Amino acid sequence: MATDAEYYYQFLNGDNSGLEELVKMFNNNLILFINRYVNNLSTAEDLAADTFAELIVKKSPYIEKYSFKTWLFRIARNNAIDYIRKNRRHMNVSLPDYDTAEEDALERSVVKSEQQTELHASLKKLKKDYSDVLYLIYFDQMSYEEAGLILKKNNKQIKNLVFRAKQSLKETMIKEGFNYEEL
Amino acid sequence: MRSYKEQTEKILELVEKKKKAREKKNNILVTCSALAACAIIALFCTSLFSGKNQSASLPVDTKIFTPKTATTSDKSDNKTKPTKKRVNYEKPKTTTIPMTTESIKTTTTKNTPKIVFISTNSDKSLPSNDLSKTDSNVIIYNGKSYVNTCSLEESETSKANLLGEYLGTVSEESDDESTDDASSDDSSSDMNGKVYTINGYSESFRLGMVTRDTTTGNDYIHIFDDLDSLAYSVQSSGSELLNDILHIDKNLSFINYYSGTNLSEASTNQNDILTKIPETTIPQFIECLNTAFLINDGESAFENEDKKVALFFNMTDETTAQIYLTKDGYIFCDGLYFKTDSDIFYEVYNSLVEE
Repeated sequence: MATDAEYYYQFLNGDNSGLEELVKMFNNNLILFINRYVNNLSTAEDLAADTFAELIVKKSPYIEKYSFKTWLFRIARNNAIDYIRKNRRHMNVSLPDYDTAEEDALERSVVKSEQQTELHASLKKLKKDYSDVLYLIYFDQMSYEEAGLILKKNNKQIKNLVFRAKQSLKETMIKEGFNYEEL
Repeated sequence: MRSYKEQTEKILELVEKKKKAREKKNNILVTCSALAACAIIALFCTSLFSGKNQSASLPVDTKIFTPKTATTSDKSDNKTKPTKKRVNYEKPKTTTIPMTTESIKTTTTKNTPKIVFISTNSDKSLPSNDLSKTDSNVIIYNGKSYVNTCSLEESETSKANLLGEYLGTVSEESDDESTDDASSDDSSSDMNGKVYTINGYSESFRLGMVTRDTTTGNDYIHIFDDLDSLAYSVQSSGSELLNDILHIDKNLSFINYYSGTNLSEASTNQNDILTKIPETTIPQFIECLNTAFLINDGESAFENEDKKVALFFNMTDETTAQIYLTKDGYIFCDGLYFKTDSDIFYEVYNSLVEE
């Protein structure tokens, strides 16, 4: 099976199926990740498309050193933050304008086991910094280094953040009667 | 929700749009560059025929143009702007002045502000009774002196986030005279690099120098602050320093602390403040630092107190601000002393201070 970088280069060489494979691999996770910032699924979907497009046009030279996924999520975060900055006033007064069933379906595509469902529910109750980093590590299977790259934190900062996030998660899960130790 | 196929089509559509936008932008840039190059050549020729000094006749902001021509080591700039070779600016001249207690490296050009690098054994960023214990480096730029307050390993992230406009280079000296004096062993001998503005901070307060560790090949960004300028910028309260200049309110990521008598150990012996202080207390504590008032006579309070608490405010942009606390509500940061009578200060100080 080809890797994400191989699909990326396949697309750059003119084969559109490479892009479709990348979309299949990352689109749902990316939309959920962006939605954590913008809180609007339709906007998150548009920003996800924009993120793919940006990475394709800019042809990041870092794909081989890190991974396509890391740079995709990093650009996605930048795009989401840019979007929030530009639409701050509007976002303060708007409410999510989509059916939550859509979001649930999207989450089900990412959250596979019952254990992950419990984890996902608990993550939603944490501080944003904490849930962001744990989401990347638990659901997007990223290393600390990759998560640090996306969240723009150095090794020391990301280790501290993960440590505190896990402590907070443990407290939340124990409070709700979930089993943290199995994670 | 779009299907994968629809999303792929949407992406392809966006790619086309972005490509067109980039082409348009590039065309505009090429046109502008060509026009600018023609204008410079025309002016140069005019000045040659009129017999005047070319640099005096250029009606352009030299601050914009000179940094990129200031240093021959900046190869990428020379490559992309070949027309500048015709202008024949003076090459940077690097000199080293060996001194008994400090060494000075300078990079000067005819058209750039002078950048001087000094290694000295004093450090205004630490409380006064610890001055003799640490070595410090100073950059002098535009007549202002900037002291090295923190250093971080360069990553693509930090490079993209922190480094702004390139200002000039402090080049490595090539003479072979510096072999016998003590300063040749000083770590400052490795401090050769490019000087930049730092994004998000005023150029009059903060600069950055990028250096390379020749043994490991790692690049470092050293942050230099003009602490003297703070005496004019900060007039009354802590927030003028912490929020207006250091941007702690916007950029704070997490806080580490050191407690003890030897501040030279502080950088390697830190702990997360949340191991001692509840997270809910932190905002109140920061508010107490913001409302602390500036005092002129805080130095003696630090000199007379052995036990100190150093706080390391780690920012999201990877820089670190250091703040020192001592009993009776005294706060020291970047050469300035503040005082607070807030209960929360004592609560935090007493929890952190080592018995």
